[in-house]
Amino acid sequence: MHSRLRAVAVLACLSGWAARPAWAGPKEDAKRLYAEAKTAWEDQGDPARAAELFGRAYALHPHPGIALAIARTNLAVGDYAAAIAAYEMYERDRGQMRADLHVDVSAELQDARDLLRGRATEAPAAAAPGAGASATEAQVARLQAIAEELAALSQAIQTTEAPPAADPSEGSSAAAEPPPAVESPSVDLEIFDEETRSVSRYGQPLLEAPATVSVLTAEDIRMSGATNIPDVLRRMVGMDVMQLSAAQPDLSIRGFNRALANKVLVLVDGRSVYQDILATPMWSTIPVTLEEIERIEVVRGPASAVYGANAVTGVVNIITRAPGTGPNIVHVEGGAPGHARGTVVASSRSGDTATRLSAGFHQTGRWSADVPYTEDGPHEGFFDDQSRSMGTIIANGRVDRRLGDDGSMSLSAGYAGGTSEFYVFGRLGDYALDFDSAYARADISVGSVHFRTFANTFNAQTGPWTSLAGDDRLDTFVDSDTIDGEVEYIRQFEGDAVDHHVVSGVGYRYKTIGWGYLAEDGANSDEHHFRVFVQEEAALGSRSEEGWRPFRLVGSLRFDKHPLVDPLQTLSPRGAAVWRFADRRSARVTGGTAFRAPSQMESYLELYQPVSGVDGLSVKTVGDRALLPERVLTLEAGLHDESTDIHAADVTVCMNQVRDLVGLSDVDGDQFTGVLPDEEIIAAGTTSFINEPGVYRGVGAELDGRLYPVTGLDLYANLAVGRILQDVDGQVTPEESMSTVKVNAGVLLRTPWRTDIATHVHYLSAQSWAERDFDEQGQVAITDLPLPGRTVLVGKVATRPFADEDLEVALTGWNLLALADGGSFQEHPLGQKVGARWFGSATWRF
Amino acid sequence: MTSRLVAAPLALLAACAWTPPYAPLDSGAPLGVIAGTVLVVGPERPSDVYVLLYDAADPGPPAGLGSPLNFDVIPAESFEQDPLGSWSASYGLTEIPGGSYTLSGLHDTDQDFSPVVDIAGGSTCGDWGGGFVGWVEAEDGTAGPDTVALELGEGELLDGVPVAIQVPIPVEKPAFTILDGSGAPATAPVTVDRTGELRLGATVVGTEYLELAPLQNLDDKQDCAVSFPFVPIVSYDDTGAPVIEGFQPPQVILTQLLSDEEAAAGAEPVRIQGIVNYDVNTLGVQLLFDSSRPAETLELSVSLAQDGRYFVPFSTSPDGDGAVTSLPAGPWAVTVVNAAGQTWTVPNEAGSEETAPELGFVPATQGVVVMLQ
Repeated sequence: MHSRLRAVAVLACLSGWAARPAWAGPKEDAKRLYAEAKTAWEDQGDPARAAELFGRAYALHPHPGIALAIARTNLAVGDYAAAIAAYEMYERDRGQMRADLHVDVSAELQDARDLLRGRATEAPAAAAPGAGASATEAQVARLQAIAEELAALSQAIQTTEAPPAADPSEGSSAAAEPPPAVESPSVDLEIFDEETRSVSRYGQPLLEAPATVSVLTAEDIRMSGATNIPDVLRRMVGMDVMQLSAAQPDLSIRGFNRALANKVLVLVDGRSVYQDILATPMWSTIPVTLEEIERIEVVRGPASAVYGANAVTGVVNIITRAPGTGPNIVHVEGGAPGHARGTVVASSRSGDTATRLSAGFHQTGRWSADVPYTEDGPHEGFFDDQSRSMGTIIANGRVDRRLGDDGSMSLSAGYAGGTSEFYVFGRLGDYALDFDSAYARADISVGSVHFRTFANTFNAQTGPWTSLAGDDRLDTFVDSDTIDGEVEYIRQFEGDAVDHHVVSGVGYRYKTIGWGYLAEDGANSDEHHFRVFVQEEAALGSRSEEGWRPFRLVGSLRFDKHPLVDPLQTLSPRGAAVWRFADRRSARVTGGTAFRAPSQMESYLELYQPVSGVDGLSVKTVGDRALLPERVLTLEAGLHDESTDIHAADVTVCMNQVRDLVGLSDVDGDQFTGVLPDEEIIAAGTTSFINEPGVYRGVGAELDGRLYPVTGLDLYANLAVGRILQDVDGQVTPEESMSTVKVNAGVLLRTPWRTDIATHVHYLSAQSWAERDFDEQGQVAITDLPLPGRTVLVGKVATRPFADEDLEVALTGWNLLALADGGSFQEHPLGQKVGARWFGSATWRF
Repeated sequence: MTSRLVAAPLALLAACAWTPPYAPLDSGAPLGVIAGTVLVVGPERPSDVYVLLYDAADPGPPAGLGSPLNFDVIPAESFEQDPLGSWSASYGLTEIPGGSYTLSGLHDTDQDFSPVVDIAGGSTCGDWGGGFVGWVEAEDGTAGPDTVALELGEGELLDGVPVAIQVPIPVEKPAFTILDGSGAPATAPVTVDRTGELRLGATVVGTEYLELAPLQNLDDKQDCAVSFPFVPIVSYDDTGAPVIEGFQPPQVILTQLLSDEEAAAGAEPVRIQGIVNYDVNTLGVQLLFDSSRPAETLELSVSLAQDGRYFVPFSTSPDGDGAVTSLPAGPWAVTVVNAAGQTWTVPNEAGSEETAPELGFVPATQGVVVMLQ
């Protein structure tokens, strides 16, 4: 660590960077500095000033494109050692950039090395034109030593750490010969384009993405006041987030949310964390801490053409920090109710190998108790501690290594374990989970070919959160394993009239499960899945001065072979056209389908489900292996605008058609079975999972905007309006579990006094949930349960008391309106009343 | 597995400070719990035992025709024997609104009870009954154990409420048919005038699902007496032979059958108590000693009104409360409640085209309604 810090200091001295905060700010501020630097370089002919500004921009937004600009400006001013170090940083990290922005700098790097070597061996009297000073032999020797040190240490440089103030006396302006003419300092401001890797499996600017995407960055997360990923996502347009318990946030996009939400595919670094047993991500079991997340990309709309099953209403792709980048972090926070969280993240690099290790714990108190529990009974808790909604530990590790000039390898593994509370379907109600979750992942890229594989394992003991003494018949076990492998080919071809970007691949997934709720405990429910996919993106039209083509046509097709589903039901096409009608503006139309494969529960369940309010009565609930997948067809059109440096905006209108939603049938059949052997129940009949008749049709519009009017001030606001109608044989009724109006707004102020202030407002209009349950006779009954509109107000104040800004302390209040009497609310009619959470935190970044 | 939380001091402080408040999920009034121990007398391990919760204002038979609001099943393997030889197990009834309730217990020895099938609700011969009882003083000054009501507050936990099951049920359900004008079991609606009479006839119930003891003399089924229409008051002599000391008459309740539309509109069915006409001595002699007479021919005559008045069911008022002044025309059901608290209603599931085949009944006679003109 010491050597890395020293290297940063040396680099700062060499490049003449000004002192900057250690806190990475939003890239819009960096963009402003970058533009200023370009002006200094190109219009004012002041590369030294440009180098300083580029350095400040890099401190705010450590991007390889800025490293390239630093390299070139330092080469121009004759600071070859710094230039070499920056070039090497660029070469090391350019994989983080879109491929179309890559620049071959090998010749420039060689020039810099030659120049430095030549300077070191030439006569000490040789002049350095840039500074007009003579280099002494001692200076040359020192520069050579520095250069060698940098060459050795540059791979270990902590790139986001800001350099201290430059000392002009240590500048390396002494040079043996004039600096060579270098081209434009960078690949232009395009490097600041908001990018996504989630729409097409390769990096592309949002302006050219063939789908609707939103991105949240680590900085957004830092000041969000959230303690879990779905709460981070609340602020995004079109998102439906609800908490049934403190440990169970459920998330959907454009409606169709539910307890154990099942319409959004969640990925962590491309690895699916979707739990096929219940068709839900189960957020508390995901081994990733907030502090190690680099960005979260959310694709709104179906994405089965790219990701296959379960990307029905969208994809949440959580991208963690690349090893070897970003600061080390120690974070602790604690408050009420019963809330505590801590994280340690360590990152390092050695040569071509970078490592990131993280560990954390997270616990939070229950919002409320569903039963009047006392230690004296008659209820027994699944856990002795009735106050804690979740208590988990997480460990995560990732190693990335470069393989030659055109290859890379990324290995990661992680573990999450502990206890969690969650609400299952119907009135099964509050459940407890004592789990171990682990994964291993390997991605290997060689040229255009990518091999990806992962294995997920999930083991748990689970059962009702509380039950009457001695009644443990619903307690069960879950052992679930998934192994996935994929070979992918991605290649870009540039032509005179058309550029092509092709993605294709094949994959296989194996799932096995043991679960006491399934027929034969899941003994015969192993599944083998196969897939093949292809996508072609054709860029048409004359190139602009910046090099982009105005028209893009994108076609995607994927076929998934599911062991229980008709192949025709899993064919997923997507088509899109994107017109970039101005430098920073584009329009798009997209049409696509997606499907959700029946979960293992829906296929294999065999459970006697209690009837609420009648303790001795149950309904046998069984899976159906002949279910059709839920399917969605979406058409959408959008405009994306980043035409000024102070704003970004996106407008989308969409239309959804959803059919074959999975629900429960009416109760029929064997209600005369009497008391079940070894059970404390009578079966009132049997119900099975079915595909609901009819079709849901939804329309919506989304307006999303961010504004950066002055340095240090970020504003955002978004609005989503939508309506869903259910049509069953011509009888049309509104589906009102989705709020018609959703509004988010927020302000982030980064003051010059090392204090940041953020506030967020999240509003949802009223909802009405048609909840399915069994009546006292064991028959299916549907009850409309209204929920009033609700507002979540979040505030956070963070300050860094010391000049080095390594330490930040903060105070956060989440759902502050709940502090007032009656301010708490339910986000689901069968969920707990969500109250306020406040906590203090301390974060040390170094 | 145990929790693997690495608890930082901060976490411990935070966790220790928090007790989640009780808040029912449906935003309604807090729901309570009644729990305790069910006690079954006897040396043999009980089979399935049920604890049934009734609204005290709408009690179950024989005090009323209320249906259980909730029940719990205690399987045989849950019971443990105490040193005195009785068997006990815990029970629990949850999600109960505040109110006044009674608890009944049933030991289903022949495992043919079902709370979701009307004809299988309640006890059959050989079962044991009981409930939550207290020492109750009657109006006549006598005192003895009897069912008493429990008062449950909103969100209250009533733990340790005992349910004792110690009363044998010596008779069968009072299964019957509605007789037509010729005295034969009717297979079509029977039309009755508001001042007229109904004739009910005993029937045999014996299916794979529910088998009631045949209508035979006491001698032929050791401890089970006839079920329809009278419950004999039985004692036993020194040799163990049954001695009939008298007969307890049944109650007959007529209930208006609402249409789906009326039910959906929230209409309440009209219900009256029929006037049972019998000559206990004659019928008793026939039941017990006229073995040549087929049991199915036993009859009961029921009048709808007495002196032009209709009687509210289970009313103790001599004028029948006078609450019912007229009877709506249309279909009506007939329920017989015997003195042991067992009931039989026609029409029932055995007369339903949907469920009769499963039950093994011939539906014709059990699906008959009384059509009031």
